[in-house]
Amino acid sequence: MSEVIRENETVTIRPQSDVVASMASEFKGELKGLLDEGIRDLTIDLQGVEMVDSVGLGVLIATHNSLSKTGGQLAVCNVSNDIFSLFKTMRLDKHFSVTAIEEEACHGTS
Amino acid sequence: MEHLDDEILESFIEESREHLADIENDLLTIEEGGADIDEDLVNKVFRAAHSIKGGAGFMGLETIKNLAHKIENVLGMIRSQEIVPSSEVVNILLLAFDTLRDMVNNANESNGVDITEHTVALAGITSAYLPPEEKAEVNEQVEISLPDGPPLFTVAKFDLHQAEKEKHNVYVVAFDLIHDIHRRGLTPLSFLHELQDKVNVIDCTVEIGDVGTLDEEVIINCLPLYVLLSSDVTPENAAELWGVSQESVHQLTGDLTLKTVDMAGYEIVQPPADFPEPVAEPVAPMEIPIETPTVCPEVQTPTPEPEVSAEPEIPKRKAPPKMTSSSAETSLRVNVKLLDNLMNLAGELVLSRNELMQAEAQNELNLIGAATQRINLVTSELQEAIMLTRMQPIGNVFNKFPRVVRDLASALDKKIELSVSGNDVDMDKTIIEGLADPLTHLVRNSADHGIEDPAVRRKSGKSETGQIWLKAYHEAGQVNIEISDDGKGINPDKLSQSAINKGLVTEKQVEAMSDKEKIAMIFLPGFSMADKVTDVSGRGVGMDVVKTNLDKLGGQIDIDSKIGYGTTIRIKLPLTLAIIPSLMISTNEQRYALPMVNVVELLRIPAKQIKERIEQVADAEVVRLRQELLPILSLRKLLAENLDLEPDTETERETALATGRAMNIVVVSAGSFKYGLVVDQLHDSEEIVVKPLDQYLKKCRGYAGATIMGNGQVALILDVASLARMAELNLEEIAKSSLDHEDQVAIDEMKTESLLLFGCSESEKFGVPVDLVGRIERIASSDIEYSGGKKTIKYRGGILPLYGIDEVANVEPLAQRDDLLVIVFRINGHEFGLLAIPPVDTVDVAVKLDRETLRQLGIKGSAIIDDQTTLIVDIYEFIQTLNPDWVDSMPVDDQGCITTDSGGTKILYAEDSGFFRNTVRKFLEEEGYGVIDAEDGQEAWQLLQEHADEISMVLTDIEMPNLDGLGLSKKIRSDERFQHIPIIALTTLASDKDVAKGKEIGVTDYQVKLDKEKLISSIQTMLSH
Repeated sequence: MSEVIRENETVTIRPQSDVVASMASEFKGELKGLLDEGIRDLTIDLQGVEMVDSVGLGVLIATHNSLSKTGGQLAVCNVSNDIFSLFKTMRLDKHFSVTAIEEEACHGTS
Repeated sequence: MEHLDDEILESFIEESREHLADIENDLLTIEEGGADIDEDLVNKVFRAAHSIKGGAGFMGLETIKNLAHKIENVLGMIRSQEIVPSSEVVNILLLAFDTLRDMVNNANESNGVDITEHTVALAGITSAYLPPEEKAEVNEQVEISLPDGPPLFTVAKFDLHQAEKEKHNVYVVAFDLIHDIHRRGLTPLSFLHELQDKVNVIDCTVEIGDVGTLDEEVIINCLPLYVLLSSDVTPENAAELWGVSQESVHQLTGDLTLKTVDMAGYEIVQPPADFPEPVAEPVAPMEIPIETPTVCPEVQTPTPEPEVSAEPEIPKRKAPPKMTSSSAETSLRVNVKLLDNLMNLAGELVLSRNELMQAEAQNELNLIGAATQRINLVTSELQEAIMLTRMQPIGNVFNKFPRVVRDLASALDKKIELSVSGNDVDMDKTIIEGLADPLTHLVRNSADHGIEDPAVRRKSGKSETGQIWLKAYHEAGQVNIEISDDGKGINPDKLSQSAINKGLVTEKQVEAMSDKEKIAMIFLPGFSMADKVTDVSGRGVGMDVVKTNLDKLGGQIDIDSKIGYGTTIRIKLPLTLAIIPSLMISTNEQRYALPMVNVVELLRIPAKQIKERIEQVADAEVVRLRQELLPILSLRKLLAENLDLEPDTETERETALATGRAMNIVVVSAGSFKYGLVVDQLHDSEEIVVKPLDQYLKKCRGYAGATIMGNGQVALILDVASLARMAELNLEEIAKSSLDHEDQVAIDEMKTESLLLFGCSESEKFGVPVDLVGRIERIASSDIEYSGGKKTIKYRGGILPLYGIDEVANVEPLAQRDDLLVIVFRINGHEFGLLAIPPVDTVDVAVKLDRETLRQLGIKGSAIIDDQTTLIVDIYEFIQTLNPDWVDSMPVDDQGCITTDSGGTKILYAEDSGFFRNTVRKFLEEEGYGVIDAEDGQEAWQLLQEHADEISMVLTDIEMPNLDGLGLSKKIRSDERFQHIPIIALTTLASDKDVAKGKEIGVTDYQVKLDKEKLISSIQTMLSH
């Protein structure tokens, strides 16, 4: 089960494991549930997620596609460095907002 | 970037370093060659940039990748003879490589580095040299699309052009991440890395529309990833090689030299089929590769090397080592032959052991003897072989000097030629690393101060081009390094005049000096050779630092100079630091080891000659040795001082005369000066294995380490330089200035301290280090309240206990006056006031503390300040006597007073970068401090409150998330409890303005990150009072 945090208009969902094929079905169901509620702006918090496999990636993109249909937006945050570079390489950041985990965000500033 | 696999990052850094190692010289050679390029050499440099680019891309080090890519572009054009490697071009490349190297060394920080300067310069070259019609290509974007499809990629035309020049084919390959990747057990990340290793990935994109929405029934049907790549793979093999179906591979053709901007010239052709609609045919793309799995095993099976398969099963974050220490090399490449040899020797050792055990079981003495001999032999060989693994050619350091000299020559408008020899002399890795800075300094000095301007050289009949020679060679088990120039030489008189002007020596002392001794003054701290400060050198820090660094490596430095003909600097270094030949001596029936490199000669003075040969000059003893007076030190006395034993006042001469024994003197040299060390007995020389001293022994001066002798006993290794310092023997004294003791005081190494001077009665003066004082409050005697037999006052809403010095020490009682002062101290979280009478004064003085005459409880000793005897209060002892439990936790040092600078001291360290946190923490811990670290200011603030009583100092980074260093300092200062805690701000770069701002807030000191020595010394000064 993923943790769902509702704050005003935005809803954040935080998967409790790596986003991989084995959990994709359940995760997809949860996301679908949220979308069926009519949520438009959804944030997927990948804090602690080390691994996103192809299927997991597919779920994220599918979520984006579903949200775009209703005019909503997907944001993925707290993305670990490896996964961040994957998103970048695949140019997924052109489609939805991807932010690296916080301690990464401040790298090199000191 | 702590999550990167440490091992992979490390190997990337290592590999990149190797690639970068010879780049400078290669580039310089390329520059020399001009238009006539050496293709192999250019290729080599090109490959270096290319591999770094690949590796960096893999590691997600975008900035490194980008810079390497730009460099690669320029090199590619040099290779194809489009650009002539003029010195201008090479300059830009050199600078770019410098930054690249810095970034590689600091890979974790590299993404934040600003490389615009380089990219602009590099792009400038590319566009300047491009044929006009291609110039625009660098910035010109072209769109690439599948037939009838929307544009997939927008890329710089230049990139496509480059690929074509490299005779690469450009493909658009459609991978289905679900079918082609996931079902082969790969993760997208590992797949991309693998791909980037094999081909040049220009761009990628995901056709997200094909993925479908959450409403589809199947979890995820397909995930098409289009990759634009260039590779030398032929179209026939492409599909098989990448494990996709023929239909998924599209080759890009088109006349790239056409001026057409859009895709008109491009067409996706051959194989002609359209990209299959993935939704319609989800299974099709994977069939081909599965059927022919053996065609290309390197792609189809996940490679076993950890470098390319970021295995999903490994939960990386759980790995505890958060960082690699990226700037220091932690691994080393070793010749396989050497390893084989080691393995052999290890095998032999095992055999010999078996032999020995058997012999021992049979109790056969002659067999045991034979076995022992074998073990002896094998061990020596093993030792040698292991030493060899640490050996590196000195060329690793020398290699950078052609560049240094080239840059300097052009900066200084001089003509200089550098000749290097002995590149292949091998030395221990540690020494090689430590040599880089001192050598650079010396070479720069030679170029800056040694070599004259061309005009001056012409006038004096020399060739316009100055020469600098850098030589390394073996001699007598040591390595000698010589840096010589044919410049103007060092004028000893000018130098000594300058030393006098700077107040480093007196004229009297100079008179007695030989030219060589005068030149040796260059090593005095605070001395700079240059008439004026130049950009290159002459900032007054230098030669003394060079010397200290070399001392640390066990090296010795010597200068020979002839006015008008040049200067030669000779450095002698041991081959290794781990095993050193030493002379064993004993004193007080303890054995000590003296490193052979320091031993000049042994001197035995028979009892009957002592009278004539040992003389007393002032309070120093000297020995007459071949017309020279050599100061002598008694090891016995020095060590007694260390142990705080009752020093015996008898001189060595008296002792020797009294006992009628001969005197054994070891003449030792500590760099530029010599002295005699009087020991009880001389033994033979031994090769000893150096073991570092444990940190609780670090405070004992005079020792360089310890070793275990053949009989299992421990012997301490003496450090001759530090022994000389203990005896306050220094260069000036050797210059026979001991005759003139008065003048010497000025240059004696004495610590300047800030003291608060105060009195309790009219007749006695007291002093206490200012740093310990919290505040001084003026009160009236009527303010004092007496409760429970104790004096207190109301102070900032609390009650402050008051004490008089006379409560502990036997001094005059407090004068009866109306106006009084309370000096507020804060010790271990407890505040108390010391009663005094006005006036108070603060002075900065060099204190010569007399620990004998007036020493008593609460009084550390006495000193003469402004012609008045001043008692220095030991505030720790004072308060401990009154309130033992306040200071119980503090350790007591050998002087009997409480110290704060030993193991118990805790430093709070706030730093967001894991790299710095670990590195700085490590060297703080090495120095024996306890470290509590925090990842940002907020956390630090919390920790400080939790550990308020333990933390004696705060170290903080400036730039941090949540709460930055300045904010933290502000918070600390605004809390009464922490008003006096020292705060050191650590920065990478601090402008004067920043420093001023910090000081205003209450930052005690600024230090540069990773400048270990300065930082430690700053910490010590702040804590040592």
